[in-house]
Amino acid sequence: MVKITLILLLFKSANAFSGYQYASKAYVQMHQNQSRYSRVISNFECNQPFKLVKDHGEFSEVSYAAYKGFILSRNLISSKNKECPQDKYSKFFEYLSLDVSDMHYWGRLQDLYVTGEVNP
Amino acid sequence: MIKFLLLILISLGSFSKKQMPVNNDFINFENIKGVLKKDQLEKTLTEKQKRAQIQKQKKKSKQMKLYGLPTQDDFWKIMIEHWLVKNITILKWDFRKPDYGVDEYFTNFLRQTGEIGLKFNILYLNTPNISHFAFPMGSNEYLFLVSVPFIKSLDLSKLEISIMLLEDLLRVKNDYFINSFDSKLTSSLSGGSFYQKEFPSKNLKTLMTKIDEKVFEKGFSFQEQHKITKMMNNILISDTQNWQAYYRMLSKIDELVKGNLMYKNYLKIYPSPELQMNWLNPTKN
Repeated sequence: MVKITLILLLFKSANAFSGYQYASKAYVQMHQNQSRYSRVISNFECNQPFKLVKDHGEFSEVSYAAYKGFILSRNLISSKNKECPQDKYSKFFEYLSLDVSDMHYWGRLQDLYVTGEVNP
Repeated sequence: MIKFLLLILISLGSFSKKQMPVNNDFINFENIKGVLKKDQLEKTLTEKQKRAQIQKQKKKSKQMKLYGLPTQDDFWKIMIEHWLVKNITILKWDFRKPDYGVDEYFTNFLRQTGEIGLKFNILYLNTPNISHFAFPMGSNEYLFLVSVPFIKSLDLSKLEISIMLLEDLLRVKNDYFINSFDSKLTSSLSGGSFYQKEFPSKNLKTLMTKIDEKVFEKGFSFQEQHKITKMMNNILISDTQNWQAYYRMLSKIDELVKGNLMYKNYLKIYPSPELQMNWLNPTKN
C-alpha cells in the first residue's frame, strides 16, 4: 500500500514537472490572443519558465506570475535550453547594450519567421 | 624508595640523551626540516599548493567562459538578428501579412532538387529596399529575406519564388556572403574570449556597417552571378517546367528593373538578369 502511494506521488510530481515549458529563443513574446499579431503582453528572455495551462497546437496558453497569455509553441521547450545565447555568452550580450525596443523586436522576429525544414 | 626512583629517572634521562635529539636541536631548524621531511609534510604542502593552483585555474576558466565570444556556429545568427533588429525602420519586417504558403512549396521544391537536411526561415519585408537576400544562420540553417512589394510587382508564382530562393541559397552556400568580410574582423568578434580585454564594440559597429554595404550597395560580382547561373542551369535543366520558370523569372525581373525606378539599385546587387538570360539562352550556348 505504501509502495503504491509512493509510486503515485512520484508519477504526480513527474506530471507537475512536465507542466512547465521554457522559452527556447533569445527573446520570446507572450500575446493576449492566439495570434502573432495580437497585443504583446510581455517579452521574456531565453529559459524563462512558464506553467503550461493548455496546449492549443500552434500556440500554448501559459502563465508566469501575474502574466497569462499565448506563446507560439515552437518558441517553447519542455526542458531548460542549454543553447540559450544569453547563458552561453552572458557578458557578450551584456555589452551589446540592448535597449527595451531591441529586446522587443528580437522577440518579434521569432514570431514573424516563416520556418521550414527539409528532411529526407 | 625515593633514591631508587631518582636513580631510575636519571638513567632514563641519560638514555633519552642518546636516543632522542638533544634539547638544542629544537632550535636547530635543519634538524626539524629533516623530521618534517620524514613525516612527509612537504609532500602534503606540495599537493595543497597544486590543488590551490588547479582551483585558481578552474576559477579563471569559469570567468573566461562568461566573457566568451560567439562560436562559429552561433556567430552569424546572432549578428544577423542583431542587424535585423537595428534596421527595423528600413527593412520594415514587422507588418501584418497573409500566409503565402511559400514555406511548404519551397520545402518540397528543395527536396525535389536534392537540397535536404537544412532548416530555413523566411522573413517578409514591406519595402522594396531589399528585393531578396539570403544569410547563413549556423550549421545548415539559412534566413531568406523576401520583399512583398517586389514579388507582387513581378506577380511571381510560388514556383518562381522558390527558384529565386534557391538561387539565394546557392549564393550563401558558396560563401559569397561570408567571404566578403575581412576574416580579421569576424575573428575579433567570434571564437575565444574577451576576458581581461576591451569588448570589441568598434569592430561590432564596423561589421554592422559592412553588412549594410553588402546588402544595400555592393551585392555580388559578375563572376559570382555567372557561376550561380550555371549551377542553376545544371540543377533545373532536368525539369523543363522548372527551367522555363527560371528563365521566365529572369525575364520578368529584367523588365521590372529597366522600367521601375524603385528597383534601380537591383542591378548593383544582382548584375544582371539580361546577362543571366544570355548565359542560359540555349540558342547561343
